[in-house]
Amino acid sequence: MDVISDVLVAPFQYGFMVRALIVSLLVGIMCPMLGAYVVTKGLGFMGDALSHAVLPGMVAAFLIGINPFLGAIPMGIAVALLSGYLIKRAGVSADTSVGILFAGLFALGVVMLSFTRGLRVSLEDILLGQVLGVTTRDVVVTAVMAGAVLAVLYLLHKEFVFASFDPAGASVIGLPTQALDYLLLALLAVVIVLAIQAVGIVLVLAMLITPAATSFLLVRNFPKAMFTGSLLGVISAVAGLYLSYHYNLPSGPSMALLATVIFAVVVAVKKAR
Amino acid sequence: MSESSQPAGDGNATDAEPSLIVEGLVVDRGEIQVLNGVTFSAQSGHIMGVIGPNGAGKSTLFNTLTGLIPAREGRVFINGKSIAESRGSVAFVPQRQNINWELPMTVWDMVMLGRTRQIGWFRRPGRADRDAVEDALNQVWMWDKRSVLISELSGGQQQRIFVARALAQGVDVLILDEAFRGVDFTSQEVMTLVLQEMREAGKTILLASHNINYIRRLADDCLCLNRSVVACGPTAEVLVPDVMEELYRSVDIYRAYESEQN
Repeated sequence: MDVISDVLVAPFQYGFMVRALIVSLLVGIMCPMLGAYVVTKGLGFMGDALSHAVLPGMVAAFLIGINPFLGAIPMGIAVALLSGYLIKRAGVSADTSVGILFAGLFALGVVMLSFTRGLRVSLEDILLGQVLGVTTRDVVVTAVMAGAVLAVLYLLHKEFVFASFDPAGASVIGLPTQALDYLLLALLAVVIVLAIQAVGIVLVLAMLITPAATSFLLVRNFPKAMFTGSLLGVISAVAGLYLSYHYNLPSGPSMALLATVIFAVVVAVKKAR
Repeated sequence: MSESSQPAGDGNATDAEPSLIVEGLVVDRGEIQVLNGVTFSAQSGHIMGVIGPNGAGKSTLFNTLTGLIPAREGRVFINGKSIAESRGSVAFVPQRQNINWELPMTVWDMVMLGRTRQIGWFRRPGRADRDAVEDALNQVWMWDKRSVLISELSGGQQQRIFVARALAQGVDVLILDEAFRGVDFTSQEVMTLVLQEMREAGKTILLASHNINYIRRLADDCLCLNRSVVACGPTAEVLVPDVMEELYRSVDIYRAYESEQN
């Protein structure tokens, strides 16, 4: 056996590693796609708040004994729409009202978690991700949801870009800019829920904004930035998975850390030139 | 809508049917009633200058005509259709571009946004769309800059791109709010040419400007607005000392009244 097969192929003799790889790939692709909008529209805080706010939905699903996605995805979409409404309504104090609501929901989720004693749920896995523990059903749900989000992003690309770049102009031409904003938030919520498996609630933001922010330093074209971000996201996610396998590191933080290192290197190289 | 509903217009000399009819428009911004019953009409193939002091409600009028803010009372007909029905046939070049500079956008992509309606939902641009964008960019002398990012252009060039987007959109009505303010000489000349070409092509153009000389030079008609219509008609008849005095003095009276209230 040579080094290549030892390092790169050997891990995938295990089924859990294959499942982890597929989920990592999908999360690495999807997060920066939405992240391109998150970065340009300044929705970073929103993304972080959303990922915390889905916790009660996830825990409720554990308690009932159904797939956590069935709790987290509807919860994510609901809070995304609610926060979209808060941003439009609250004006100056939008950050505050979103912050209050979502911190409260997160606290509720943690309290609910104390009722799950006896179930195999760990707060650490939820906070930092445990991609090695995903089931075949998780993989299928992730693939289907990622495909659906990609399809919507593709089909409504020019409308999303118009409404994000020039909301007033898009409105004048007759685009339903509010509906588009809400839809984008709903897609964001779905992707966040998918990413929680890999990097956990706390580190979703790293996958969402870091590769996307890096890509805007490298290319200056929105669709190209989406793809470049996805490439960087995939590199971070897959390399992070290998690191965690070979050096017994936590997988979520490894992925987030790699994404951050890539960002730092790109910034340094750009500065040096 | 019928011919009997010919409002204001101060008995327009031309026999053309007005393409834009505004009747008794009342618009609030928050608690303040900014437009109190604005009535006028604009002809196709004419450039109408819109003048008035600061706070006269020009931007509010334009935002209402483009459907960005709702009217409390009154009616607007654009070629016989309501504002909602005529979306896509009106374009707006606002005073300051309220666009998201974080999002990298090339000149070409920006002008292509104007084709969004023609392209349709879920579809990609076709031959006709690319031709329209090319024509529009040539008309504003910006074809060479098609791959440049909007954020890297000068203010005047950016305004030309917004005009190009309106051209690509194929609008009937173009509304410009102080679009020429602080713009370089070339851009001003190019946009003047474009407006004249659009007039020839039978478009309706509304142009707000503080530069009365420019209005005098370019506009066929002039709307003097100060929360309601002070005067409206052919530029030469409207831009006379009596009207100007009323337009700008009345605001002083209003201001004095307002400061007394506070």
